[in-house]
Amino acid sequence: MSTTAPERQGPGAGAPAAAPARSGAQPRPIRTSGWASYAGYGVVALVLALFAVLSPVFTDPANVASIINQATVTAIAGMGLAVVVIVGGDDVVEGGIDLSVGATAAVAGSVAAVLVSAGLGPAPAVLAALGVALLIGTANGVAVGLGLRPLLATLATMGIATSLDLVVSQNMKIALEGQPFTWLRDAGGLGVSGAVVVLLVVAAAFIWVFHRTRLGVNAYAVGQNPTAARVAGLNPARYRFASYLVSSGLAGVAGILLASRLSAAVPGIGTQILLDIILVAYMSTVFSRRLVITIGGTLLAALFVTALSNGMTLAGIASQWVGAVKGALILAVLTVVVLRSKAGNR
Amino acid sequence: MNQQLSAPTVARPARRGALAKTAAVLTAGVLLATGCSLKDPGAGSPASAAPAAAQEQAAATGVPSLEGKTVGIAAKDIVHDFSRKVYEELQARVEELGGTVVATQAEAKDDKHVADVENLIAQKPDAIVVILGDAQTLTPALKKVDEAQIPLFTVDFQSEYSKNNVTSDNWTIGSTLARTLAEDIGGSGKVLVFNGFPGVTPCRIRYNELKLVLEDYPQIELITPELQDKYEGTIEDARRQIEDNLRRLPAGEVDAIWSCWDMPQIGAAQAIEAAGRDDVKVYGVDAEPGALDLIADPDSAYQFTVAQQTTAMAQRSADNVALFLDGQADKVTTTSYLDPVFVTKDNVEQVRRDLGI
Repeated sequence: MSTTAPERQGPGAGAPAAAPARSGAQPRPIRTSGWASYAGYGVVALVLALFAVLSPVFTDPANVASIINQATVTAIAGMGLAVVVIVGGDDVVEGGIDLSVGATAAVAGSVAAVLVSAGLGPAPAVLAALGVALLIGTANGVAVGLGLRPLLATLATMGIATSLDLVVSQNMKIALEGQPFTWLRDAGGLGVSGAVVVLLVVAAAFIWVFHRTRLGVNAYAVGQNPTAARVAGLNPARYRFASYLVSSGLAGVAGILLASRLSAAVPGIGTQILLDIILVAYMSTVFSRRLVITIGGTLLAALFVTALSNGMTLAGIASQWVGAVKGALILAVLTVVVLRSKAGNR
Repeated sequence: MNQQLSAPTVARPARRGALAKTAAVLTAGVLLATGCSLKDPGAGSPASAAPAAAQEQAAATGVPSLEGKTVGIAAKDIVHDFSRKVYEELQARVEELGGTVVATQAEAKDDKHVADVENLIAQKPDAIVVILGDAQTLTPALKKVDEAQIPLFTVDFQSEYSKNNVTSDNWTIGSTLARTLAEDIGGSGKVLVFNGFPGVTPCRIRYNELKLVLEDYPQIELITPELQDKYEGTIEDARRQIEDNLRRLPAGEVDAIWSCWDMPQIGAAQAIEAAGRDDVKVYGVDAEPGALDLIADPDSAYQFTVAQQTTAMAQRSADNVALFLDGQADKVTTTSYLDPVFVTKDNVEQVRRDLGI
């Protein structure tokens, strides 16, 4: 997979950038070694193999394509959230977090759908939708820049975005059809939808930036030790502001993909998708040797979480149990990683 | 993240025990939660409680076996009693006919419903039954069912790709609901309407019937703006909306509240009682246990609901699947209509006994 290398500093991360990164990494001694560093992959592979045994259909190319299709929305929005947490630090109370991503996705979908049904072309409608998303991101960035706790500031903007969604959509489903939305929704020749193409492009770009360039190294440095980063000549406030714009922008993209997938903007869907987005961003640590949040890991986590639901349906597990089994498996994966990393540290 | 993940400091064997315990507590908690919220007291009813009319038809046709057949089920939700009962009874009937069931329910989430249908297609079952659904969001997925050449069946959900839709006669439900309301308020007055689901076929039909009936009651007026009910947290949300509206609308400004289903009306009746008003009457559909309790209470504003023959509907759908897969497609009509049962304060106890609801 393309993400085994994300944390290695590529040649793009030259000497000047390496300095802040190293000083920033100081409070993080955890770096698993040898087989332990692959524990996360191991458990995930084990779970997927189990599903493959339980249902021969699971590994069917059509089913794999279906899983990737279903994962696009959480993956893209999750990457945006991952950027916020990378730059803002991963302390749950004080660090970077963007609770408005779900609602932003929902309002972007509604804006696009309303404008398209009002007769506007798809390009201006999508641009307007992304514009609204970026406005919310700007509000988040300004609030956090003023010193508000991200958790509370983005909770407030989540409320605003949820309300905007209801105002724009009048709490009704608004159809979103026609090109290019049908292209985003439906499988093309390869069995993957346009949404998957968007996912691949976004993922490739962000993996490259965050794990191969100086900008990415600096972003991690700002999140892990802002003081050291400042000493090294970086401006943490600017990075943080930008991270909220990125998060809202990607949430907007995810919202348009979601509305395309459902061929309608569905009011109130923001709260339904928020938890999965948070889950995949934080679960990305599983795929990281240093147990930090990564972009590639977020993509893998989104695929894994989607594959869990899919696999359980195929295995015929009663749907009442899916939430519980899914939760237990995720706990198991996280636990194994933590235990292994400690064992590796001894 | 490191800080949280590395927090536990107990020795490893103990930690493993703790993990197992956590999993057990989690599972028990989930079971408890679903068990409590989904099963209403007295709701569990044997299949035999279905009215005789529906039963005799099923018996008369001589339903073929579903032995060796797999039937995928994609329910929109099990948050209200109608869908939960259809979901359970459908599974029971398919298994009774010897078939294997793969059941999914989307927790009232449109995106999960689409994913559920896609996941069922991947498994290539012999048939897929969709219970309720939103036409706008689900149709592309149903088209894929059709393209995969899996026969599609629906319950209370009209789709161009469905071989058979089992539903109540929603035109009768809608017009009777509207006529009862109109007569009860003496042919003149003002009506608050919950109208959040124009895309849901039964709701659309019932609402259209309301408008049609009111053409001949010119003294009755629908209050604008109409209210938007929500699919999740419906009762609490509706209660708040009605509380606010009752403050806005004093006596004489509102005489009745209409909805195409019971969930918001339970909240509405609670709000009316809390406000101490006795001038507003409440009308819904679905015979939700909470609504039946209120109708049975002589002091409650709740006047009228409509019971659907959930058990019979589920059975009919399973039987139609069996007939279709047995090569008897000619015996399966496009739509199977089942008679609704109207529930008033006078007959509520009788209907509960008859239908086991």
